[in-house]
Amino acid sequence: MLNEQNIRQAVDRRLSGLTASEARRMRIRAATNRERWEAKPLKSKKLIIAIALVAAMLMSAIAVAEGLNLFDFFGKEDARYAALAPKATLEITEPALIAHPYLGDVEVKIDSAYFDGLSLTLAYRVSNSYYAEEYMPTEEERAQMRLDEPVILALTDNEPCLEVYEAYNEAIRNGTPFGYRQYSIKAKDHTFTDDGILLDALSGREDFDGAAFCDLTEFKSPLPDEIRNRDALTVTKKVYQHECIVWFDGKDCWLSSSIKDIGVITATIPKEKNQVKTFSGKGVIDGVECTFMAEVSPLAAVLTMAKNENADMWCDFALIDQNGKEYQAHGGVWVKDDKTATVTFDGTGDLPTSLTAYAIKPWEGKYSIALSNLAGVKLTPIQ
Amino acid sequence: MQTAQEDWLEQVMTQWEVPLLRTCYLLLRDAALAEDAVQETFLKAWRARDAYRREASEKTWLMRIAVNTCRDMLRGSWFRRVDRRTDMADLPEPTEPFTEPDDTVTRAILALPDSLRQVVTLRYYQGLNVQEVADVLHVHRRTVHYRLEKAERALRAALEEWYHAE
Repeated sequence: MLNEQNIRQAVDRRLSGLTASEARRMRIRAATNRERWEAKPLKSKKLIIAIALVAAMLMSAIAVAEGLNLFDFFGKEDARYAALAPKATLEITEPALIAHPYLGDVEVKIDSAYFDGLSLTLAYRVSNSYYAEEYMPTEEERAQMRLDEPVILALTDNEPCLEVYEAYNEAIRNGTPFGYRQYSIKAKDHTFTDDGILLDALSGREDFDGAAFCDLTEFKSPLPDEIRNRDALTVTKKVYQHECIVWFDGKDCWLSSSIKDIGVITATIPKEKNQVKTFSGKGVIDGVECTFMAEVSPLAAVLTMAKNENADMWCDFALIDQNGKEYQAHGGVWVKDDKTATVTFDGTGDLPTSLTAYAIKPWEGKYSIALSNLAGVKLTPIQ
Repeated sequence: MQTAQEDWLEQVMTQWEVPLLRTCYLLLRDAALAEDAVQETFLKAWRARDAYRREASEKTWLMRIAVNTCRDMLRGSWFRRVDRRTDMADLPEPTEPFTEPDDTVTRAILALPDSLRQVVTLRYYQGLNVQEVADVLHVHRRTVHYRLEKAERALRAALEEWYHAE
């Protein structure tokens, strides 16, 4: 085991020049104030609120009519998703409809997904995700609770159960006892095919679209061999309820939480055909002849380097397309038999016409050297 | 009089500004970009603050936003390998004295590939447990274990005097 405390202290001393900055905080305050000021007029004028609600409903109707989905929504942050949004709309998706005693009618639904045989990305939405109420835990419940930090919750003016959270914040400030209980509904990260294959998540994003909770997950590429050639992929996710009780006793904060499965969501994702290209090339790395193979789709790339003899495989890899656009590695070089190494990358959103691969020794200080100064291996399409 | 929203913002900035700044630096290897990433992280957290309801610790939640922000910055077409600095020349003057081993440790972490540096930063620098690192990176626990193992192997030689077999 590495000695964590020594590492933490060493890094803190070395990076001690990176300190708090009042100027930085002022910029952050200014940005949040600007957003709050822009939202402020709406909360005090009922007529404007009504108009805004009608507008939101119209926008929602237009969004549905135009086929806008969560790839469009998350596409505001990552253009790759926006570009694939038209292909990500689903025709077969079975939501979980839950009549919850506190949350009301909740719909959890896989809204959109993209599958091309190499990569899979899936997005789901929960129509109504949170509820909270003032709650005094019983003695028995208190005995099960663990100590937590008394954090002041961030609140928005129009959120449900606002008075509960405000009362909790007030109790923290005043040092008076208060407790609340909250429920939330989401889908689990674990995603299975209809024949039980677990798909490993690679990265995810979550956000709110009005009252709806939205999640987009990219899965690890390459996908398992058993599913890569399927014309369509049927996936399932379990839906769970998270119940949380928070009790502030006037000094310390106590917490208990539990999770219960309450439903399943499924969707069938048609394969987007002809979206995976294979490239290959040969070169010499450190005097050893190597063969590179790359499979590339708009959302992922998998590069494999094979050497003809056993050699040091501890390399970092880079991949750029014909326009010099660099693929972002996920890291984690997978080495097999000291002859084969595989590394995966995020796709760029496009399909390349040619690629250049680089193998770089991290311990030789080459991170600071431009790729143009290194010898790359040109990869050309083989399909 | 400050509102609850302002209270919250001040509290998270006071508690997390420096840890986030140093974490973003380790992830991006660029002090100026780390500054941008921290501002962006707080702004995103402020926008999404109503989503935070203790399903994860506040630290894990903020780290997840920061990691995603850094990933977005790394994806940017303007971010080129030539821009990745490991000489730490752009760092402000340290406010605490540091030793040669302090420098060695930091350089060794900065020299790791992106995904290994992420797990080392979150696990060893931020002290998150494996499940929390998996939650932040949205990967399976097995993946975190694998990357930690790879990272430890890579760091062992450089950090020999810091390495303690248990």
